[in-house]
Amino acid sequence: MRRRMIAFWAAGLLAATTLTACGDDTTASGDGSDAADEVVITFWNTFTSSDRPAVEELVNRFNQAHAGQYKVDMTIQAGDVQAQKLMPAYQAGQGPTVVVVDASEVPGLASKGVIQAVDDAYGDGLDQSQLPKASLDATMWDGHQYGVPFSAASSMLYWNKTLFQEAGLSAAPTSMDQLVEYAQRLTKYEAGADTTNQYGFVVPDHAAVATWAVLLEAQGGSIVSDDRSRSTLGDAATIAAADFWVDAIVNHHISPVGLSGVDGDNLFNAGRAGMYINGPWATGGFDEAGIDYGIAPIPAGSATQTATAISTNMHLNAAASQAEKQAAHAFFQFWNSAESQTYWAIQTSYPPNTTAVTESAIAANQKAVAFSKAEGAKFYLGGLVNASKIDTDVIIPTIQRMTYGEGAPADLLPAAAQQIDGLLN
Amino acid sequence: MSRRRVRAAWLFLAPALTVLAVFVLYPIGVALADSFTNATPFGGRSWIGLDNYTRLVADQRFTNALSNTALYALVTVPLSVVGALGLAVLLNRRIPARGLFRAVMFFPYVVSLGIVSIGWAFMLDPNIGVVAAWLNDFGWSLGQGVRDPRFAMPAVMMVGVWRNVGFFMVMYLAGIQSIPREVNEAARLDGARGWKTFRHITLPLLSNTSMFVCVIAGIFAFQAFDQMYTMTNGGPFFRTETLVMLIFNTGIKDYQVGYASAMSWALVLIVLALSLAQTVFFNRREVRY
Repeated sequence: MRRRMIAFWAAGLLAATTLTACGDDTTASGDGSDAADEVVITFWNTFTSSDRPAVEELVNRFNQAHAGQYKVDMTIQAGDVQAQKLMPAYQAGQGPTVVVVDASEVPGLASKGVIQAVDDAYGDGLDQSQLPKASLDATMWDGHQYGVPFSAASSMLYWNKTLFQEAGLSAAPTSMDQLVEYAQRLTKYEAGADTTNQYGFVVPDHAAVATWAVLLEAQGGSIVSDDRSRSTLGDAATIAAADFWVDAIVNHHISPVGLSGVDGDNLFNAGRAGMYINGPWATGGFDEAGIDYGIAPIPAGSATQTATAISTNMHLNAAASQAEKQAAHAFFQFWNSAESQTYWAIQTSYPPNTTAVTESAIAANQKAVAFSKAEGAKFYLGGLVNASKIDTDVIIPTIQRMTYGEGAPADLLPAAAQQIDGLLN
Repeated sequence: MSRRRVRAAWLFLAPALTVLAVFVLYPIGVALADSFTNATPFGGRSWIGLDNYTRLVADQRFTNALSNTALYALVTVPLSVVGALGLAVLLNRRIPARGLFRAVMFFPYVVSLGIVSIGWAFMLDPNIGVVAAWLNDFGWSLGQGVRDPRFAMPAVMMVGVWRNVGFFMVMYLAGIQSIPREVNEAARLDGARGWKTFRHITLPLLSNTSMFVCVIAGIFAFQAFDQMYTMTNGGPFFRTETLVMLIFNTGIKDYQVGYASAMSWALVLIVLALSLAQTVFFNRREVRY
């Protein structure tokens, strides 16, 4: 009898424990405050690279300067992890107070109503006239400002000085024709072995700074019309531009195909790539690898000179309380102050966000100075709600099909344009 | 049985049943309901009847993922099962370091497939990979490695087989060791040796194990995701995108929860049909002893 009673109560206790574990923790504070007066805001970003220490230091400085008043609780995570977690977190009411995402994500987030307009932040100590116009334009949605600049830069051409010297070259190319010519001289292709030991110009097609868009546009092509109403991928000018690059990459082996950004970084880090287009965050890895490199504007093509504008911005959770909003505004102001941006530029090689920082103030890091001299930067698929889907479902597979010889640009690009048109509407 | 004992039994079962109901049965039911709606996490849901299912039939991406998954299953299931059986027969013999070999073969199953897939992707990389370098020494090129449309699917298949063969080998080892010794002895007295013993004694008496292994291998194959996600991300140009990967992309990345739920239920029905077919096939060949 006693044994049965013990078994009965043990089973009951086990069931109760399980049910309790499934329940919500209703005692946790949900108002964003740890102490009575301190407002805690959560802050997600993806600065996992060599720029991470600078982000951590600036957040620490903010927390120290506002101790007892505001506290930023930061989570730095890989880009794909954040991308997967962000929407489910918002849906569950657990989204970060402030999140940093690429400018291309703004239409998607704003149209879903998970971030709020921050027009009033600009009347709260932030001077719009000193901030990057491209970033401000990219975070406009439906007539309102939905973001505050976190980092702004443009892609540039990295060139390996050692490999250039070995090939009898002394300076970065100044035109796309010259770039292809240099790339062929730098490429060490072993005919018959189907392997290349050294590539002249590494061109990633996914998970990287948009390089193909820049190459197409330089030679007169484009992906969508200026008014974003239709895709121009199937136009004759784009097909001709694609033919130019497919020929260089496939027939002259200047780049491997199907590369991701990490693959491209690895090749340049290993001293096996002569030229490579990337953003300022790559400098830390290249320095660590001991590569002797130069940074130059991406050369002008037969049509224009352009680069990819890289803009990440801070966005405020639509469900943020008034207290959290004030804390976020204070952080926005701190991040874009002259002092913070001077530190940011010197530590990371990013150009400063604010014109209040002069070139002489960041002279200690000439790479940051170089990155502030990019020409004709444009946002890749900027302002499109389905930008990410257009990129992953249409553009990347089409580029890969062209470079793997699954079809000629004239066959593949018009069909891809039709697919994009379906996603634009 | 007294009512008190029945009540105690239900109480003991309650924790597991609660977990099953909350985390398995409820989501399955919700997914079924969602599959008849246009549900998205942010746009509410409305009833659209069978539209998601009719859309599946015309969706080229779904057809492509289904054929990729079928190809993956057609190659990896026989290779895993036959390989596991061969290894089990080999490692059931008294050979030196038998325990070590068994552990080595089983090891891939207990480590994270996502992590080992990253390792495989590095090893197969034509620029920095050790396997690619070895093959290069023999004059064999891996092209662009897992980025190459010719090698992407074989690479993820190879990792799938490598991962599962040890697990199935353990199943077969248990099956072989449960065959009564007197049956083998009787066969030996009748003059059966080697292949004949295997063909007429071991293999028939392993029919129950084979059924279990084949059903599980089929389910594993239709659930393939990890190595595609980490090694190829479904590429190049969707060549390695499997059904589960497409469901993930549709539901988690594109937020088309209703459509992804319909895909999930299509997958459930396919796996159910295959498992039933395998069960019927093996039941007809079942040997009782």
